[in-house]
Amino acid sequence: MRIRTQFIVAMIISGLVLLIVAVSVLWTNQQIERLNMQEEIAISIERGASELSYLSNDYLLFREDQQRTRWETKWSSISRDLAQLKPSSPEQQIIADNIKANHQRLKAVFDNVASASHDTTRTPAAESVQSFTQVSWSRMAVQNQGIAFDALQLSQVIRDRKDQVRHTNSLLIFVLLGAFSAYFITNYLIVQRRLLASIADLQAGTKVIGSGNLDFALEVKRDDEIGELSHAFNQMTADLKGVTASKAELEVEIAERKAAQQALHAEQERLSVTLGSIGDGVIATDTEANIVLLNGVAEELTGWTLEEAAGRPLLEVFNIINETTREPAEDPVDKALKTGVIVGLANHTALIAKDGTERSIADSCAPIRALDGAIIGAVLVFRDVTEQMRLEAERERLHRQVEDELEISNLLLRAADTLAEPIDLNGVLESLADIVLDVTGSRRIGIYLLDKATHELQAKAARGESAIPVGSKFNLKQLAPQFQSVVYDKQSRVIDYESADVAEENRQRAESLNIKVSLSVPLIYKGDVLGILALDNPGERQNVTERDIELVEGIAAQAAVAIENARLYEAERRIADTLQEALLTVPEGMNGLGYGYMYRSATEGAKVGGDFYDLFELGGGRVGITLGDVSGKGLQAATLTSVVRSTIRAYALDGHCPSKIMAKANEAVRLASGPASFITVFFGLLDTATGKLTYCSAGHPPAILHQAAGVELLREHSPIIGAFAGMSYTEEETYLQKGDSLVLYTDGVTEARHDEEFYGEERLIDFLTQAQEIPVKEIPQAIYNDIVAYSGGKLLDDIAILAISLAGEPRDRY
Amino acid sequence: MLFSLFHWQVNLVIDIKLRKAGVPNVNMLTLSGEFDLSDQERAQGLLPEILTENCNGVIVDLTGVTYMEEAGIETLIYYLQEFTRIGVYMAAIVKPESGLMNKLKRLGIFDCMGIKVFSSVGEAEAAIEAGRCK
Repeated sequence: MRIRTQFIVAMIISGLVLLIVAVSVLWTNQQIERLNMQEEIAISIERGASELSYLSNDYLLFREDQQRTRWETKWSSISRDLAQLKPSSPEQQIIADNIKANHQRLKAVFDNVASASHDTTRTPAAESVQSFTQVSWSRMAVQNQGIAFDALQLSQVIRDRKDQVRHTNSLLIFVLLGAFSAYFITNYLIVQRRLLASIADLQAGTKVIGSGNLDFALEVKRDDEIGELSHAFNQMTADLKGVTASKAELEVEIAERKAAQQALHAEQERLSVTLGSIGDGVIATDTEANIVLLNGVAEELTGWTLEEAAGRPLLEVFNIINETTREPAEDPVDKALKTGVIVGLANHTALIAKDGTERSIADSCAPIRALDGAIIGAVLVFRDVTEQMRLEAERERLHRQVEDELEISNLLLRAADTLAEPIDLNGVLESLADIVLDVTGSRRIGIYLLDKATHELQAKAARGESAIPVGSKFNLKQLAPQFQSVVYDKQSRVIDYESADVAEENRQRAESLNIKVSLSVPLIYKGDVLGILALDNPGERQNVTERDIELVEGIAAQAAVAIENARLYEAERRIADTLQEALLTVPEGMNGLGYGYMYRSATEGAKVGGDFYDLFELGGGRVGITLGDVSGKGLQAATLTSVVRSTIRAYALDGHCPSKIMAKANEAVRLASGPASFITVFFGLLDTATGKLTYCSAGHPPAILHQAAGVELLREHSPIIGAFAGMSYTEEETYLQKGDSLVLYTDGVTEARHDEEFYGEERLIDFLTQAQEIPVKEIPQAIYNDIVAYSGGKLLDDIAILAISLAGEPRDRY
Repeated sequence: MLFSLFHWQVNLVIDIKLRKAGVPNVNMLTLSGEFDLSDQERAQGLLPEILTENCNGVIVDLTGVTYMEEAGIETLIYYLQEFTRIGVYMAAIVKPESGLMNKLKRLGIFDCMGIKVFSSVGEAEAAIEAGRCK
């Protein structure tokens, strides 16, 4: 039986026992109570009988009605007691019946006495009356005594009955309690023994399992709670075994979870520190655009603390406007939350802080997504770009300024390059007109040069619509005072011919030329006004800016230099050209000698260069042959050419040999030239009779002796002339035959280039080898033509070529 | 600015670098590119920078010169004249068998002044250390 069932049964039995005991006690009490009442009734009857005895005697003595009434009342009282009497045993019933019978007989006796007393018709004798009274008294005394005795006996019986009931009840209770106690003790001992044994088994099993033996199992002996506990214990052991089997994995998992937790904590710390130390303002909101977080920078920029801003709508704290329109800017968080994409702030966004401070800000807002992709808020990252914007604006301004300056510089540089190309005055002026027309966009340009002696302005170059004809002259003093001031005040002027400042006469003249507004800029060189550069848009009020004036003045400044240089160059060139023409003059013909020559300057339109040649007769059939190259150009080069040419001629005529002549020329040139100037010269003395050529080549490219047998390079390694003092020179000799040609040239020939490649000696030799049929007179031009063809006409250096051959057969040299 | 741009454009033609040589008290002047008239003034103007205090020798590296017209030759002569005047010796580095080497040989500039010509910087520095350039 299960312990629980046993316990319930024990409880039920206990209850029943207690119930029986209680019922028994109650019943006993009721019985005793009832018996007590019966006993009292019996005692009352006994007393009533005694009293009736007294009352009977009294009546018998006095025969008064009062006594009779009292006797009858009492008798009735006993009658009521008898009526209440409930005998509970046969013995009691017999006694009660006797009492009732005696009671009735007593009544009958009394009634008989009473009736005898009231019957007047009957007058008994005294003896009879006494006898009757005695008999009646006796009879009533017997009856009363009988009642009293029976009543006393009845009360005794009732008392006995009460004692019996009490005894029986006590016995019953004792028996029941004894039986229950015996049952309880027995049951307790049995259950306890079973429980203790089972608990001892469990305790032992626990120790075994606690020692690590998870294979131990308790023996299930009973099918009750202990058995179930043993079974559960065994199940627990099995589960524990399963759990223990995965202990290592569990420990690893715990370790991993701890590590992950630590990493998460560290990450949170790092994020917190990062957020706090980040240089940008960061505001995070929930999906309702209410603020949940501000970092320190955001607090500083907005003027709101996190405590103040937390929970507030973003726009209450992050008050942004368009800097240009001053209208509220678009809410980036709202847009990010609605679109789910990163939103950049519009340009020119300003943040108004809590204290009204306005800052330019930039950056973006991005939605915050949970792992499942759902948007759970937005993060706004922004930074103060006020200084950056200011710097940017300043940078842009400077950039524009630099660009303007660069553009002007480029234009001026272009102008400088363009103006540097022509070396003649007209070329400069024409270039200037083209440049100004090109860079200013003006539709009419006029360049006027000033004749200081006559105060006349003469148009030298013009461009555009209704341009004033070149050559036109104007008396400066007759022009508008504003225009005159350009010359006399040496300042640029924008003249509005429709303004009231301009005299009517000058306005009419301007109208006749269709001038509305013009810019006039002086061409100034070293403080002298060389002329005026004037530009306008015919029939239009041209808007002339400061930049236009600056640009044209820059061009005019360069143009003035170019004009002055061109003027000087023209003067120098006239001299140099004259000198060069004189220096390059060779005789039309020489006895015994055939020759050809040519000279080309690399500078277009100018003869001035550093190359020269010379042929002169020394008498006796001897001829001096010179070809040289002076470093530098212009008048100085022409001067040095003159010096070396004259020196060579002089010493040659004086009969010196080439090496001696060159040494003399070196000293002469060195004294006449500037530092580092030098000359390369080939000088030879040719005896036309014998064909003997004695020569010295002072740093000059080797002459080429073209013979029927082949080509010979006349290398002779003397140093250059004019650079160093005290140089010694050597000489070589060779012989020309009829038909041979001696070709002298400057390095402009061999250094002519096609791209990066030089024409070179080999190409020249090849050309001469293939050009044997060309007459000597035409050789220089033929070589030149080949060079031009090779270089594409782009010669970088002057070229001088001299070709010589003997006219007749030389006599025997010996 | 105009001047700067102008100079910058010139630099496209010739590149001039000045540095200390690997030998004490010797400076190295390296010229590269084409040397024409427009470079002359600037190159000659570098002379004070070349002749620094305690400088007693100059190596002129011409291996990077692709073309040298009269103005370049004049500059070399100018350097030589000035070096000679103040007693600074000079060594030149020229690519052997090059057009420039042939031209310089023809002009006789180095020969007549006893200037040593080498084909590499190391060769020149070794010669200077050995005292063969003085």
